[in-house]
Formats: sequence, structure tokens, C-alpha cells
Amino acid sequence: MIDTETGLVLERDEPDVSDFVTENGGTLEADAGEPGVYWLTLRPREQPDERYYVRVAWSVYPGAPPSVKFAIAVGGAVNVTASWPIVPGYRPGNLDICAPFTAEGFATHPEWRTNSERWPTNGNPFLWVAQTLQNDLDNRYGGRSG
Amino acid sequence: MSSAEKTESAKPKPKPIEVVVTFPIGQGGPFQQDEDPAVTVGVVLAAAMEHFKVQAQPGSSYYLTHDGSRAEDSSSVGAIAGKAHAVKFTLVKELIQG
Repeated sequence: MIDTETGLVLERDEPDVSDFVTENGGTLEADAGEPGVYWLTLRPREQPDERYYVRVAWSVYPGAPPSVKFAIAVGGAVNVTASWPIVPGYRPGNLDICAPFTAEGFATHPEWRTNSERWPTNGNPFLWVAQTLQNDLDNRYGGRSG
Repeated sequence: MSSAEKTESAKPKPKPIEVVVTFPIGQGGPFQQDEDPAVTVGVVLAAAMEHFKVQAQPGSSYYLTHDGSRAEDSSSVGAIAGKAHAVKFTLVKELIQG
């Protein structure tokens, strides 16, 4: 369950995220039953027929990074390695992204909380997460995980 | 005035390119500046990083993207803008991973 402030700030930042994802051929959907959870459908620029479904779950926004998982479909299971793209730092075997824009990354590297990789709370961090995911698919993509 | 100087002064001055750089987690609004078409992406990158108050750190770096593709530092903004007189970049932080 998210607090009121988290819900309000997400509501403020969500339109820019939706615009960005749509411009890149994807979609953004809020989870119908779980406030703070969003489903992004993204595609790599070079492989527009591929679709990746990303569950982005905010517990506190903008104060903490979200859990980011790839899923078999919007609203689908998040424990299938073949749902994941091959990108440096993305770990399908662990079902996580080891980078300083996810809750999983900060759990693996607590030192990021206090160094230059600390979680940003300026501006629109939700848009930054979406742009980072899209940029990784566009410029660092190595195919679909097996 | 020599003939060479006359030729030089007769050349129309290139129209500036309106450059905008966005960074969702940057401080302040977007970086906006009119630039000579010959100015390189690397120059814009440095100015944008100063505007957003970010610096490269060990294990991480910054670059600009245009239409989803990484823009090379040596490219000129005029070449990227083409016939347009405006160009929009996104500042990207290349993240380290564990």
C-alpha cells in the first residue's frame, strides 16, 4: 500500500512517462488492483517486433527506487528468465537489474545509497527509470534471454 | 578591405540551431541555448552537464542521445539538426552495474 503523497506525486509524473513510452512505440498502464504498480510495454528500436513487459513497483515515491522486473505479459508472472532482455547489468538468472535505478540494485549494493550513485529525488525519477530502460533496449541490447 | 575580406563578410551568417537538452532528474529546467551549427555534441554535453550540475564519476559517464541513438561527441549540432533549426537531446547517465 502506498501513502497519499506517493500517490499524488506519481499522478503528477505519470503523464510525462506515458508520453515518452508512447513516443517510443510502447505503453504504460497502471495496475488495476495495486496502487504504485505500473506495467510498461517496451520495444527495442532495432527490433520493433519484440515486446518486453516491465513491472515497475513503487513503495515510496520519489523517495526510494522501484522494484523493476520483466514479466511474461502485462499483469503476468515475473519469474521467467525468457521474459528478460540481455543487457549489461540485467541478470535474468537472478530476476533482477543490478544498477542504481532499481530497489534490487540498491539491495545488492548498499554503498550506492551514500555515494555518487545514490537514488535521485529531483525532477521526475519515474521518467528517468523509463528512459533508462528504453535507452538500454535501444543502445545496449543483446537479444532475448533464453 | 581586401577582396578576401569582402567575400568573407558577404557570406551569410549561418542561422543558429536551437539546442535543448532534457534530463529528468536534473536540477532546474531543460538546458536551452542557441548554438552555431558547427558546435559539436561534445561541447553541448559539457555545457548541459554543468547546467544540470552533474559530473562523470568512476564507473559512470554521461552522453547525449538524439531520437534514441547515442550522439557522437564529434558530430556537429548542424549535421544532426539537418534542415531543421532546432535539435533536442536527452542526457543519459551510463550506469555501472554489479
